[in-house]
Amino acid sequence: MSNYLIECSGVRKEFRSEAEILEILSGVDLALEKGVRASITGPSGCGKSTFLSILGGLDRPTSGRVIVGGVDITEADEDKLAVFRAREVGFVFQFHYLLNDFTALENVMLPAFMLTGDKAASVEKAYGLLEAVGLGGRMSHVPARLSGGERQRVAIARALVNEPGLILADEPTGNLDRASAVQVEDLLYGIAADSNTTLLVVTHDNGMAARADRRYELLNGRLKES
Amino acid sequence: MRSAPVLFVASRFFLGRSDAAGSRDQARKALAGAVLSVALSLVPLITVMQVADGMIQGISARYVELGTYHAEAFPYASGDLMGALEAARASPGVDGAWLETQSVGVAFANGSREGVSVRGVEQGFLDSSSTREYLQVEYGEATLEKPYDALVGAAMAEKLGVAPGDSINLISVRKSYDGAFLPRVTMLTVRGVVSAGYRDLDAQWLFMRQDTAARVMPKESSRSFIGIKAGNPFENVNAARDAVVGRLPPGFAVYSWRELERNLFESLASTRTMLLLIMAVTVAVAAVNVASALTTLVQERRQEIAVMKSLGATPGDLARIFSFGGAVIGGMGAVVGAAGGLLASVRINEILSLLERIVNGSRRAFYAVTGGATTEAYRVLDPEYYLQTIPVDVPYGEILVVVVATITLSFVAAIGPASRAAALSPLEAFRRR
Ligand SMILES: Nc1ncnc2c1ncn2[C@@H]1O[C@H](COP(=O)(O)OP(=O)(O)O)[C@@H](O)[C@H]1O
Ligand SMILES: [Mg+2]
Repeated sequence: MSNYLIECSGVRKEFRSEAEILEILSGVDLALEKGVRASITGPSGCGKSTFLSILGGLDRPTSGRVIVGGVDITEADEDKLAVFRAREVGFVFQFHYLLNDFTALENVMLPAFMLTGDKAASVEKAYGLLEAVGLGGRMSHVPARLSGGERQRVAIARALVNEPGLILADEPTGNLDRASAVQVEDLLYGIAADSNTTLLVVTHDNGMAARADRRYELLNGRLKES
Repeated sequence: MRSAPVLFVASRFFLGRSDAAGSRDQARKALAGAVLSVALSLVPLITVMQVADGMIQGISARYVELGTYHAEAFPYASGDLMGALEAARASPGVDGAWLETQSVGVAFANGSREGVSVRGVEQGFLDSSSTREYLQVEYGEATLEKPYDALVGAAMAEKLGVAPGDSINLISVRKSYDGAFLPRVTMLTVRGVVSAGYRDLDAQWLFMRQDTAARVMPKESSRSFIGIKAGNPFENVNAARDAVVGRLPPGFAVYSWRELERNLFESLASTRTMLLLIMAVTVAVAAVNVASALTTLVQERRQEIAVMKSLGATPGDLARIFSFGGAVIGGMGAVVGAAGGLLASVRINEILSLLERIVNGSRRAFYAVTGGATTEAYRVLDPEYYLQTIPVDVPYGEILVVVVATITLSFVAAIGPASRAAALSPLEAFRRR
């Protein structure tokens, strides 16, 4: 067993349309040990989200190898990828992507409930996580009745419920006011440190990027440490 | 995903929460519409199923109790009718056995003329309780006391314009040895006007005494036989036949009522099947509504479906969520529709007479205004062909089959949208809004 949580090499990604072939990633290599907190910056449209989608098993590279948590996700089929996403990865996005018809508590417990089928245990876990992100009083609120910062904290709690090895955060503070952004930033870095979870955060915020153990920049389809 | 989370997610996707964000009501309206269309398609299906059953039951009962008996024993060669009658009456389980002589003739009265089916029957047959249950005496009485007494069916009496006490000339024709036709006139006195409640029968029957019929009707166009009743002819079709078979003197063939009226019952049953097939098409159309409502739902929920996938739901999980939802929609529609259909058919006689009253009332109003002449009253079901009142009989087993079939159909209709949901890319969630 390698001591890297993420190992990817030669990751290329092209988008083909009738008119042209767009090469977004042209050979990305990255190796991150367990518990490392890393940040990626780069100009808009350079392929940061695309790269995160590939690491999280939401999209497949055109070529290259990606191994996350010991799972070769370039070879996995849809069902295997689903299990991988449930166990290994927690996503936090710029938009919260909470489910509208579910309360905060239900949103957080759902990934655990889906994975284990044990409702009581899932609810208990979700309860603890919502307390931890400071939303103990908002359990039964639907997303429509939460502020932007609160929604993002619910999304963080949801990303953590299955105790994943990797948290992928794509501009998690991009939509928040300054105060909420600081709260979310503290939460992500704090939780990753406390639980020895690998964190990969894409951000335009230099302050947030600077707090990472390792900083990367994506430029011209390649990743370089800075 | 296990079943519990599938149910949990499906219930939220389909029912939603009143306090949830956004008014993505398009799909919910479509879903409610789909439930309603399934329900509405089942109402006529269940009603026809049930009313047709009731009608077939009612018509069959009249044919069996008044026409064919439960079984008939025919002499061939030189069967001993009187001996067979004694033997049939003495057979265990037999409720009654009577001689009958049937023939055909033409009845004249008041200048009108009608072909009649002459039934020479025994008073005992007319008096038996199962006969009286279905044969209503409209005027006079159902007794054939004197040799030339007669009873006529209500529709026949109407056509001939006769009432109790009136005379009818019954003309039969016999072929002589040299081939000439010899008419014979028998003058009968109407003692009663009777009705089976079924026009077909009431329009052709003329009852007279069996002994008189055997004497006056030409042998070559008459047939005499023994009619037998035993037990419930619908519970055991062959009860009457089996009761006497082997007990009659040699020279008799015994047929059950179903054998005797095979064509009639087959045509009733196939008419019912035809109607049900037509109605089943409307259920199939409703299933298309289920499919299109689910397609709307999947379309509206693209992003949430993709989010579910990013949280670890498999394609199979999503397929189960939506196909289960389709089955539930079908089930709700089926239960509501079956209840509506049952209610409609329990009240079918009232509904039809209300319909007739509305139509006739508005027609009268129309003619009152226009000054036109009122034509014959409108009947939803022409009594010429149907029973005047429809007996109601609930076929629970068949209703259950229909409900289960509807749920299955909705489930099948959901497979398309469900597999579209299953195939949706998780990246769908993160496309620009
Ligand atoms: N499915 C797709 N088809 C075609 N082009 C795409 C697709 N997804 C992303 N792109 C393009 O790839 C480039 C990188 O996108 P993205 O990874 O979202 O950039 P970033 O997150 O760094 O802003 C953009 O130019 C975008 O338009
Ligand atoms: Mg991006």
